[in-house]
Amino acid sequence: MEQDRTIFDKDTFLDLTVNMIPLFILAFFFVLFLPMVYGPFGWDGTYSLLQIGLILVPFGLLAILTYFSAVAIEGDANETEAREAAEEAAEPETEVDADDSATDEADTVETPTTSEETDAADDEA
Amino acid sequence: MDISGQIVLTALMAVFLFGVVLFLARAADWRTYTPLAGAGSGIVSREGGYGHAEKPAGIFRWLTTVDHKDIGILYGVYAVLAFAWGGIAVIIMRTELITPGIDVTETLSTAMGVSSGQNLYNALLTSHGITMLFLFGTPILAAFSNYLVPLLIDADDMAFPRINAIAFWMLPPGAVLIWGGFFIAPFFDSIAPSMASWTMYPPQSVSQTAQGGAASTIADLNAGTDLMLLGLHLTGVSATMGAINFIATIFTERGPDVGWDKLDIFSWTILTQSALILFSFPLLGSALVMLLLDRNFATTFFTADGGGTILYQHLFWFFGHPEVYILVLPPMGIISYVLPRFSGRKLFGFKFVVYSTLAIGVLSFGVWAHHMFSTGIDPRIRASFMAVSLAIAIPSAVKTFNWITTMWNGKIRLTTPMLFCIGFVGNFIIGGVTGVFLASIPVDLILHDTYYVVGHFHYVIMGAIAFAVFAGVYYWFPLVTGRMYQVTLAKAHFWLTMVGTNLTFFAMILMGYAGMPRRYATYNLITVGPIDFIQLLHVLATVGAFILLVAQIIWLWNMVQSYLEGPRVGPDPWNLEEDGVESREWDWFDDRLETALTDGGEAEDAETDA
Amino acid sequence: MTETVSDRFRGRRIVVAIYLAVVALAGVFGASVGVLLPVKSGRDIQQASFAGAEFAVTPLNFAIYGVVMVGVTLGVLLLAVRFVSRFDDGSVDEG
Repeated sequence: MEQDRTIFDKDTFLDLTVNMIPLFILAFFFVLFLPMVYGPFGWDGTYSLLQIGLILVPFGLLAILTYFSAVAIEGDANETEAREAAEEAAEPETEVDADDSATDEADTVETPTTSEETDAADDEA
Repeated sequence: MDISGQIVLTALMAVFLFGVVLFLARAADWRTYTPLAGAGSGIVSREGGYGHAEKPAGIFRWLTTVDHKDIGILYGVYAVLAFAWGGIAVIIMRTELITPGIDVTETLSTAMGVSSGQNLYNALLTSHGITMLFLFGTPILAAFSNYLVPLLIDADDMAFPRINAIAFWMLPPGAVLIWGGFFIAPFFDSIAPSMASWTMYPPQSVSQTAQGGAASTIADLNAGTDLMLLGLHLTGVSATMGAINFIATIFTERGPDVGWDKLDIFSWTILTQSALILFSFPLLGSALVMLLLDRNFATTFFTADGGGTILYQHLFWFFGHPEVYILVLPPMGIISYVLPRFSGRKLFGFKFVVYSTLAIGVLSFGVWAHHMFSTGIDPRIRASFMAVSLAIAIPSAVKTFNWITTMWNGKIRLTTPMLFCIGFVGNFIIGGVTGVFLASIPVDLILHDTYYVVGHFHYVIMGAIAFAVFAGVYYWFPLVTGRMYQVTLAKAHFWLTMVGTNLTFFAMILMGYAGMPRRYATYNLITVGPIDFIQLLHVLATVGAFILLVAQIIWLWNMVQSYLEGPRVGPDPWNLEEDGVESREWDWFDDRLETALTDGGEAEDAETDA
Repeated sequence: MTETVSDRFRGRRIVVAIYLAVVALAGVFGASVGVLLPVKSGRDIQQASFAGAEFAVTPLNFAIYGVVMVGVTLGVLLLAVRFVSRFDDGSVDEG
């Protein structure tokens, strides 16, 4: 895999804000439910651990999946870029048309201001 | 009659059956499906491309096909039949609910061999739920994914074409078993269609007789429920096989220039959906087997002094909640795919939608007990499920936000698919917001088991999922049939569906506020709410249901007639090129058209129908 | 007859139309709840309060509450859409 460009650049992080909001909400409730912080319920060996586990497990799984999908998507994007650059250098015209149709959605470039969008989505919920 | 006479009869019968088979194989009326003007004649029709060079003609074509496009069509036809069954069931139920007492179902129950009107209502309720979720919802989405995913990812076919065919052919026997009780009930007093509701909670699902009471011995149990459980198991196996196939296909069969970064949004949602199916349907299968064992072999998995009835609810909803997202993710994919095409632009925030799809996939496994807030589980556990339920609202809200922003900066063409997309967004906002309130424990405790819940999830299932399905059906109708549907009928279908949906389910949400409990055939004995007002709302909901019925009949007529006689379309029926929003499946369509024309296909058709 | 509609609507017009329809629906819903809640045989709720302000449960009050509540909430979101859309590279609306 072409690794000359880093995967987790600024743009990728902006794309990932969308999954960081649920992670943040989960973290918020995790802290809120801790007996030493707010903890509205009494401590019980079984149920309190279950309670914490039920928040931490989805948190962990979501974080892991987000990481690996970002690696897959951005890794392939870097590869595509490298290949297209190479093709363009080799013969400027031929491949461009065939590729267009497939990329029309995927190559959306996020602008640095997208964090406002996700903030607003947070409000909606 | 002596032995030789029987042999002669058998031989004659064999000859006769052979003749029937030959007739079916050759009969021209089994319209050999040719997506475009493909050449087809005699017993073998030729189809261009994709390694399906030869297919038998007539009905054998459909019985033996392993072509993903054919199987997609089979899924579609099957799902429409199931949609009709579920729809007729609910029309009978809504007619019953016009008046507070029991009347319509009482009359029907004698004709259908069910012991009482209430029992028939419960049976219809069960059948409506199971049919719409497992026999319509999942298969109609499989219809889209089978037809489109290989085209969109530039694959020759599915990774396992034969498993694909097997997965489909498990569904018809599944449906026969699930509906079996209705077919057998007129002939046996001890067998009725299952009345266990779609959730099949024990102890009822384990102990119910055909008369609705509790059975004292295993022999008294209503065998209709056993049939339904077995049928459901088949459909579960089918869905799992399909899911494995899609995962393998999307991982291994992508074309050389379709990297993960270029995978279209619909395939992303199908990939996530398949993963959800893979992890959740085995749970359903196990729970069903345990129910069957409890029923027939006196095991105690779910008895009160055995594993307990709450154990079943945990197992069921660990499947049941992901099932919600199994049903809604691909429709979201269809909307994300179709809506930008008629906004004349690409989707705003494509990667946001991808990542939020994956987030929904993971989080959907962490919210199951929000269906069980009122069962008395520990408040600490409830609180955690509430937290995750609130978190999962974000990815859906982000998608909605992206669709609206896409439209905001777009130039919109109000074609029928686009109307359904816009309807989806509107209804999904109502369905989603009413759902967020239910995720809050105190609100849920008040509204649990009322029509509010019914209204909420129907806004999502009918108002959103079915709308996306219709958007997809209209958008890809020319791709599959090579013809255009009738626009006026399609517009009528949209507006009637929109009005009917909102009338029916808006009234249900209000009824929930009034305290009307769900699942009852009558409401003359309820102790909550102003009865006059509740009856008015029931009548409104029924009127809405009939409007929906009329709309779907119009739709069916439009589809069938347009498939037979609609005008042929050109290579780019939606003028996508004008906006630069072409996509791979229409390129394939263009190729097919050109191949067919150079082959000298059925030119006469193209002229007469245009 | 083919369905290649050539009329194009500005997207924001349609979005605003949906917004208005939803807010109107919220008004209808509020009025209906206002009819429903105070009925003696029903939940029998006569008084409501929001952020400390007490008001009687009447169709008009609840309709106003619904319109304002939904109007403000969705309105804020709509402003957010408007703001974000300035940075939208895919825009095809020049206005």
